[in-house]
Amino acid sequence: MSENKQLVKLENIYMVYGEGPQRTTALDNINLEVNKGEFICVLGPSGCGKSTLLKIIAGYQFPTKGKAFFQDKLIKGPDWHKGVVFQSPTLYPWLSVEENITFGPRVRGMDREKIKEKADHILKQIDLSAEAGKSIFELSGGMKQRVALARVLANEPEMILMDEPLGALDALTRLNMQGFIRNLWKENNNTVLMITHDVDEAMALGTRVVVMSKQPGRILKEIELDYTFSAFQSDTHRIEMDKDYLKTKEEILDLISQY
Amino acid sequence: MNQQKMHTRFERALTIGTWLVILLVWVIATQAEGLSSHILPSPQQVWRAFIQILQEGYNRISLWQHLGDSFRRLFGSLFLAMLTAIPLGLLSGFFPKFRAVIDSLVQFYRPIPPLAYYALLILWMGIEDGSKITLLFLAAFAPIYIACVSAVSSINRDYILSAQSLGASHKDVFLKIILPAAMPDIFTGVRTASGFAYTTLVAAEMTAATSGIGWMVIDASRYLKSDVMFVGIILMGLTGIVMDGMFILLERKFIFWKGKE
Repeated sequence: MSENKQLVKLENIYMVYGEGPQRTTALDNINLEVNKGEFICVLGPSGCGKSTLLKIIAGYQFPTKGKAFFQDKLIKGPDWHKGVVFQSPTLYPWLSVEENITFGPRVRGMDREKIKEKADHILKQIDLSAEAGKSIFELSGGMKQRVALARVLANEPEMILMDEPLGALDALTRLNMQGFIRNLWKENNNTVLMITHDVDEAMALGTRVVVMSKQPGRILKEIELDYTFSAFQSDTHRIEMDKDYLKTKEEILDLISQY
Repeated sequence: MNQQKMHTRFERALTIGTWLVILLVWVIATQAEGLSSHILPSPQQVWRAFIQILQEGYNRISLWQHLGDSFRRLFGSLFLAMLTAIPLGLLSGFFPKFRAVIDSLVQFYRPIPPLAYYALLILWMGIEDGSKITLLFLAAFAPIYIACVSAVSSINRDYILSAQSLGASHKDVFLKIILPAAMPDIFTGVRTASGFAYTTLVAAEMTAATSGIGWMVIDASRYLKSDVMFVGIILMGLTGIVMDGMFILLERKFIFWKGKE
């Protein structure tokens, strides 16, 4: 891997909230690199600072100590190169499904015809062509999250950050959405950093799983995986769980419960 | 579903029934001996007065002219209030420094009954429409401004963050996110303001005017034309209801997402 393929670099990141006795360390010396094309799943118990990590990369928060780089430049704030999918979809209820999806390209002043073309393509990708003109409140939870994802994809960002995007969905929709996210990642050659607290989800999607400890948040281990590719080969589009899968899962669970 | 329909139908019947009872009591009361029609005119008298005003006007000014004068003052001032209070309120909600300048002024004059400073406005601007529109403007400004300030503070922060992550500039965030997101609250503010401005309007017309629906009632009272007073008061109630209904319709059309998020 050459140097220019690196997208994100976090150097000795510390994040401290509050003062005096209420002082809590959310992130403790985090070092992380994300390369183009990777699908990183950050896994950890609640309150381990996973979301803080994502907010620092997104540019919503700045670390107390340490440096965060995006494409070799210090991260100074949010911009369209780093798309964010929130836990609960923040779709704008005053816009239709299609208008939500084209929000990014429109505020960036993209050519109108191009936007229309793009919207049609993405709507087809997320299988919501028939819903283009609908209002947001007419959609189900899974559909909303698909639109939220499409809204980010329409911008073709260098990187997509997802903060437990499937946390609020039921088990079945969740499984479908996982397959869906995997396909979009492959088709569009995206780079994804996704936060989750579900070990199976992380293993089913990630090319690398970053395991974090409970407060203060530290990176315990990074595990390279390739289960996500097996889904493209099987007819069921589900990943193949072999013996090693369970072993790795046990290992991760042990890591999380240890600290 | 069906039961619910029956329910609302029953409730509607109750509403209509209430009004019929009031009308009946009114008819019976006016037929009793010894009650002067100056104190309480009969429904028939009021109806006749209404028809007469409709045909001949009051004080040689047609009813439409009276209503038109009132509404010109009301909507003119409401429009001015919206034009200024919405941007100022949103900016105040967004920038604490902005709020530091405007907020205390609004909080100071807001609890003062508008008629208390109406005398001053007349002194400065005369008794024509200028002073009235200024009065109503001040009455309507505060509720809209306050609604806008609180609207900004209640906006989902993630709306703003996600817009920035989609490439929106500060201007885009203000016009395309904050403004529409604040719309439901703004609307409530405008509705409250229109009610307040309407009551203030009638009071102002009663204090100093030569036309308008409020003036008609106060003028009629000087000549003990109780039937005309009744016509005026009933018209005020009805226009109030129509105005509010209009707002509800507009709200349903423009803020179709309200309560469905």
